[in-house]
Amino acid sequence: MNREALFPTPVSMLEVTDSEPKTQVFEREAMPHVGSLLRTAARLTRDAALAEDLVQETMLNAWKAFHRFAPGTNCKGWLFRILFNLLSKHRRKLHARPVTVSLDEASDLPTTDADRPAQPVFTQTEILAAIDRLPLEQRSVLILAVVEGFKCREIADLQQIAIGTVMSRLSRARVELRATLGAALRSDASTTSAADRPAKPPFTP
Amino acid sequence: MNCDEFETALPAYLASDGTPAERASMETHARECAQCARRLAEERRLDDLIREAVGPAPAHANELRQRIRRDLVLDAKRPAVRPTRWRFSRWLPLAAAIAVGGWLGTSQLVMARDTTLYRAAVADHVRDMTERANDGAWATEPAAIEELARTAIGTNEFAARLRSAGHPVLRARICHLQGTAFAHLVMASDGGPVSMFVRRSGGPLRGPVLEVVNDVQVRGCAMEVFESAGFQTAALTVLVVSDSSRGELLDLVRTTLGHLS
Repeated sequence: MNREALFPTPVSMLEVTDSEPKTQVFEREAMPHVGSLLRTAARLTRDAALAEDLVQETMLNAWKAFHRFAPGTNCKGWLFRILFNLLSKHRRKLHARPVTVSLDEASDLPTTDADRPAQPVFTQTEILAAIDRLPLEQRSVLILAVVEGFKCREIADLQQIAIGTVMSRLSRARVELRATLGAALRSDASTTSAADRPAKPPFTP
Repeated sequence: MNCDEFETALPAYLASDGTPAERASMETHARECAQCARRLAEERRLDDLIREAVGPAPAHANELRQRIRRDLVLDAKRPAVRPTRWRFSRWLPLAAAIAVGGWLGTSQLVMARDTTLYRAAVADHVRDMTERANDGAWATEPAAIEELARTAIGTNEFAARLRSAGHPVLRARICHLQGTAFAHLVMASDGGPVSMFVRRSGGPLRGPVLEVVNDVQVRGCAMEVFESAGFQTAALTVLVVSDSSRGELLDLVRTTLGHLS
């Protein structure tokens, strides 16, 4: 087999690039994914400003390399792959970053299921704190699979790791979250926002 | 399917993976086993809780979109430049001239300081990650990867040995570093993607010596956030690039050398 047969020129890219302005194709294919990229970057960095910078850089890199993208293929996966390559530059810093919560949220931090059997109701802040306490590798596959809807094979491809690694990280993340939120999962209780909780009675001496 | 198999396959099932037959098998088991049905319901509830907590895209995503559009307009107004691979190729004659100068001087010092090949390998590794990952020119099936390796380096044994060393090749393509064709193999590792550039042994490999493994000199250098290393056996010249630490990269090189010898 010769090399041309192994690596055919992706003709579809050239056809679309020639027939439609690059800006229109980029707007249609790439721009709708900014929200998803920002949501994931924010959850993984726990830093809103850094997340915005990363997404902005992701989109600029994608724009510069857009002549390489074949329209109609998985643009979301391609963008997330660029994002994760940028995230890898910050990897050591992100690993070292502790989970921080505001003092107002501190009282909502979940401990373990066993600590609160009587009230299997968790606020969204508590659930987010439980997610944020997962190691970065587990947190990233969990968000990609559950929130962004990527399949295990797609996650393996965009994070450049083996599919078995994806599945074991996903499994460990689920075990960890079940240990924290188990009561809410076993009951019919649903989450409530802090505002939905019954107000505490006023303190009277 | 039994309960253990159900439990093992559950994460993939929830991530919408698996063949229709595998998914049907899961669903059949869940209908027949109350305990596994409860496990499935719990995991689905967990997914709902996660999605509710993480929520929709942040409200300021629209402002960010506007900023990105401004960036793109500014970028579009810059003078047109050729795609990176052609810009890069303009420097190949200069890189080749430097390499020839080093060879003519036959100075060990010059040889030790010549890192142009590693720089080219790092550039190709970065382009792979940012530009070419989705361009359809990669061999991804094991048979196609082995065929590529046979075409480029005369043997498919290298990819097979990497696989047996626990580093399966995810994809491969032909690239040119300093005008010489290499097989560019991409592997997964816990530290991130690793690029391995392989060709039949040719001229001497240059660059600072990092260590000697089994009488083989391992050369290389760091460039920005990337580490590169290279070595030569009787048959092959191999370069390795990743953004992991030097220690992790040298571990991989030692493993590879161990499986080649």
